Amino acid sequence: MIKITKNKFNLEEEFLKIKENSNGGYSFFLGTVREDIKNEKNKIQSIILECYEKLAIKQLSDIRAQAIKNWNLNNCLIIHRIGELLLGEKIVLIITASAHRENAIKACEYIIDNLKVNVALWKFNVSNGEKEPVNFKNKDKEKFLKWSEVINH
Amino acid sequence: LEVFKDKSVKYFLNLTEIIDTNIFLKDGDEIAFLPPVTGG
Repeated sequence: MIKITKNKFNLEEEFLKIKENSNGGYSFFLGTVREDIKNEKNKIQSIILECYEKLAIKQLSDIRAQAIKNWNLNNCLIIHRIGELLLGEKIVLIITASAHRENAIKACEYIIDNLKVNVALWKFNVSNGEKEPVNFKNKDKEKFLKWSEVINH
Repeated sequence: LEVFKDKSVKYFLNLTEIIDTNIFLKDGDEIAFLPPVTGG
């Protein structure tokens, strides 16, 4: 299940979509809008997420399929919100389900690391009424590249 | 081919990333030049 949406989502409802008796472990990643603690003068009021939706859906589907194959997942759900989000709001949810916890945990981490550097989504901070693009972080790319030793292509 | 020199940009043709820049375009092709992504 892949979803890109402007709408809020509910954790329990999403969990129930993926819940099966064959699963022994689930791993959740939930990304939220946080305050920019380094920038006292220009406090973030909200963020705006833009998306090239057709491409992002394809990329997320590919990442999901790769994670399912590599960690033998029973299921995997990815939701990413777009539009304007206020401080504390949920941005992204990943739930991985497998027979054993280790695979679910690793796959979940892989998916968010991959998403952050490869999926066609762009974040902007809104501060004092100004919209400013968030910079790409090289440390995110370096973290993702470490997975090349783990993933079977 | 000048356009492909910016290494921070990713290029897509019909939703597939262009690695080999020796490409031919036809009517209806969807091309995208995308800056580094920052979702998640």
